[in-house]
Amino acid sequence: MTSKISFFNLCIENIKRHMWLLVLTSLTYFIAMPLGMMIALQNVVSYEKRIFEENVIGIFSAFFGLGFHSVLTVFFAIICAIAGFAWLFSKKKVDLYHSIPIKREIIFASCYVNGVVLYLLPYLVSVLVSLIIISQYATITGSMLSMALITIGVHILFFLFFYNLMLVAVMLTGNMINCLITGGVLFIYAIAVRSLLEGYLSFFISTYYGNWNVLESMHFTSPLLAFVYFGEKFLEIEDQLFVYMTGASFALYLLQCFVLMVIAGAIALFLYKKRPSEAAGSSIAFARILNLYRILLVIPLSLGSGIFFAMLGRSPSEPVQLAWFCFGLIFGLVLSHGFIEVLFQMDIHAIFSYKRQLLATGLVVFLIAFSIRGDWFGINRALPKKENVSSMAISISNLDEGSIYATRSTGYIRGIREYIFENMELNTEIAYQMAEKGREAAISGVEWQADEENVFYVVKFNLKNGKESYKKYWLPASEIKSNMEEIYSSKEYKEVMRKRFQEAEIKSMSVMDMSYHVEFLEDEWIPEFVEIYCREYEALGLQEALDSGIVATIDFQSTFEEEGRMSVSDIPIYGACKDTLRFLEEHNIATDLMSGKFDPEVVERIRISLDNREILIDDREGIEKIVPYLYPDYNRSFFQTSLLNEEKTTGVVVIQVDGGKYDIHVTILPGAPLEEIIKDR
Amino acid sequence: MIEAKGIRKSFGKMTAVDRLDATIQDGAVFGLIGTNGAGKSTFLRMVCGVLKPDEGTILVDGKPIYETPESKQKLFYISDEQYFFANATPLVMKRYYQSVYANFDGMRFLHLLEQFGLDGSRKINTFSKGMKKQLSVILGICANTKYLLCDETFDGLDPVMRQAVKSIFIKEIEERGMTPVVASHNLRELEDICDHVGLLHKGGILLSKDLEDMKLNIHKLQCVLKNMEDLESLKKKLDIMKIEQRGSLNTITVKGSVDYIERMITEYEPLFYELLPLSLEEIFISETEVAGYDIKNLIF
Repeated sequence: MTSKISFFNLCIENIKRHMWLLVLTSLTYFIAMPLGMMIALQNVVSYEKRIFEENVIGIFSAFFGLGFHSVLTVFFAIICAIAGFAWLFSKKKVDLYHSIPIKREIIFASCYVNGVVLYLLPYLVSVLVSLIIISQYATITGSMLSMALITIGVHILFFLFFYNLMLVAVMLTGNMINCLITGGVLFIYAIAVRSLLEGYLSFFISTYYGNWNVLESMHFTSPLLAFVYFGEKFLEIEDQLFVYMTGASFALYLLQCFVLMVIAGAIALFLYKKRPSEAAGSSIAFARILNLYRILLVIPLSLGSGIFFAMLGRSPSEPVQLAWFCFGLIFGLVLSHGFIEVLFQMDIHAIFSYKRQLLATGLVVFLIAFSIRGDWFGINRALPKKENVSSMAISISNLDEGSIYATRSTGYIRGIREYIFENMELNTEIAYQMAEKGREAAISGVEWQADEENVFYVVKFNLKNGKESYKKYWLPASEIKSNMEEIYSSKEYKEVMRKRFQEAEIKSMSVMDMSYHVEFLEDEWIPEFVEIYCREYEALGLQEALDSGIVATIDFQSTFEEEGRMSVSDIPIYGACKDTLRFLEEHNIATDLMSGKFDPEVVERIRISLDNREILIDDREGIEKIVPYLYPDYNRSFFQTSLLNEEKTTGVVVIQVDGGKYDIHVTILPGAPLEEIIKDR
Repeated sequence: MIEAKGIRKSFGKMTAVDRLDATIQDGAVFGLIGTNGAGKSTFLRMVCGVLKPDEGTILVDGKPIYETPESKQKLFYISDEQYFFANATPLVMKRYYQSVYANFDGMRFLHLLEQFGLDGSRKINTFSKGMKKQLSVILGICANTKYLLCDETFDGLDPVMRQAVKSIFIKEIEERGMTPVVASHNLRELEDICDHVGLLHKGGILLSKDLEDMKLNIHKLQCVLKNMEDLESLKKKLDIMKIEQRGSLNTITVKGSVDYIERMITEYEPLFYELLPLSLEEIFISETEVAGYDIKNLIF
């Protein structure tokens, strides 16, 4: 029986015994918040008023947003959990705490509250003091205050999430080392196993394409990911101020985190009640889960070692590759098993104990490893049935692939491939053939190399049941050129390009030519320019595009009301887009090099690699003779060069433009008078 | 009364306490003696509610002890390695125990500290082992619990302090009916204080008796008989635990009352006989030898 008074006394006694932690949290937050803020403010106090005010808002965001303090939240959650319950690792302390006439739930509660208070009190005091300080320098608006309050709430929520999960680790173990390892495992196990699986599939299954966004798919498997995901998805910067994108999904997400936090806490309490007192000082508190623990750790560690050595020992010889792989599996198995046994039994001689279990685990490890390596599940052979596919999307590497699609001003970048997959809906009849050809090549077992002869492409299947499937393939350009031509000419393929211009209001646009010379379009030119370009691009055939080559690229930025800025770059302007080029010429935009060739005047020198020797051409006569045959790599895509003379001659052109020097790699087209030029050099 | 029935406790593959039955009556000092690894500490830790028995029940005044604060209020456990908070002083520990034991007598604590010559403001981690033991006993006495469980508490106390503690125990027993349960190897010390003794061996109770009854029922008989045939005949009539022969002198450890043994021996008209009481240590050794724990086997 414990009255409320004695519970309160217990809590006070607990706090007294953890004064060191109170000092640590207080000092840390004092330095991180009020003191840090005063220093930051002092640095800008002498600025001109308008700039000062902008800086103050920036400082407010830095200190009251989800910034570096998030690291402190995680750090102190772990420290407070361990500090409050580390007594469970000592037999002497357990004898004291479990012999006194207090229910275990009350002991748990007093230690739990102790850990929370030792974090919360200094944190809240620091926040309050910092708010008071900054209010002397700037008016705290309603939005600033609400941002700060939300941040406090979020920090407390995630502190408890980490705290509770760390408590689970404490309850499962009997000493500090195992506690820390278990805590680490709990935080990252799911993502580590998933990453391992992705690694195996990517390494051994040639057609596997992992369209896996770790934050999107796994944010609830770890408070770490949940925290990061929250920042990515719900935080935006607006006029230097952190803004939370509140709404239904925001509230729902926090509620989900809250529920998971409560579940973790309930599990910790349950384990505490079930935990035998004699677990103090042992490795694991519950003997029954020891075997499970071993298996859950040894198998992934062994598999990880296997793939690590397989990557290190990559060789053209299949037996050598296999040998390294097997070595890695066995090495990892023995090492991880031994390490875990030593850790559990706290005896170095235990390294080879439980031999039968070692063998059994080894069998499982080899089974998993070779089932993936040998594609026993037929992943390479698998292709969704055509009748089950509603639409497809294809992303062909280096075919207009240079564009980058940024959805956030905080820098979250999505590639063009993701954009294509989101927006392209190709006719299945056209695209399915490319998938079938790719499958046949994969089944034949040929390992294609990423070189100029082969085209890399990824196929997405939108299935009628709402699911998606992805495959990646390599094929020689010559084998799929006809398919690519058909796809390139399709309205559905070209629509994706136009869509990029239409996503949001374009705020600025620039054009860059081959010499990296950039010029901006006036705002009033943009709509007409975009219309002309899209019209020409949509009418462009693949061969026409290849023959004319890329002469310049378009970059632009758009803004969304809610999601910030979008930045797109490297949209190609082909030489065949005559109207587009004419428009630019009429508006005096970077016309000099729009022909796709070099102006001999800007070429300083050319280095050519020929017959294993380097030849330098730096005289005007030589330069003028060879420039017409120089084909910049900038223009090149893999399948283009496969159509060129196989015996390629390459070189480097050094040009000087706008006061800067640039090295541009080139291919020398067939017909170039090389022998004449390099005679006597 | 503390009742333990069918208690079993294992740690992994090792059984520390095996089907143990014991009854600790109120108002008497219960001595728990046992060999190394007999299960004394394990038993005490189960009685005070730290460990949960795998099988069996432990009742304190008819109520279970495990996770029952009402029952735990009646017990104070002094571990063989008592834990004191880091950098704590005796006064800090007093405050803590005052917050958990309803009847803790703070004034008496200060008085006893003074009596034992302990400085209440001095850090406990500067105390000697004996001083820490003294402090543990003082805390236990002042908790005013009905039962005081002491695990090898007397070890580490100097002879003067041992006597002082014994006096306090006796006073507490007389004044408020406290029941100490003392586990120890130090049989000579237990002999002075215990009323009832439980002998543990390999997790089980070998015997549990009143000390006086035990002493009354086991004796050392030294005798010189006329011939070997008399000795052989005597062996059949007496409950003999051990016989040692040195020349013609037979030293026999025998169970039974004084009257019965005398009656038996006089039948053989021995040349000499003498009945001697056994010390607790001798009883302990004899009983455990019977159980197969032969102290001689440990001497090299």
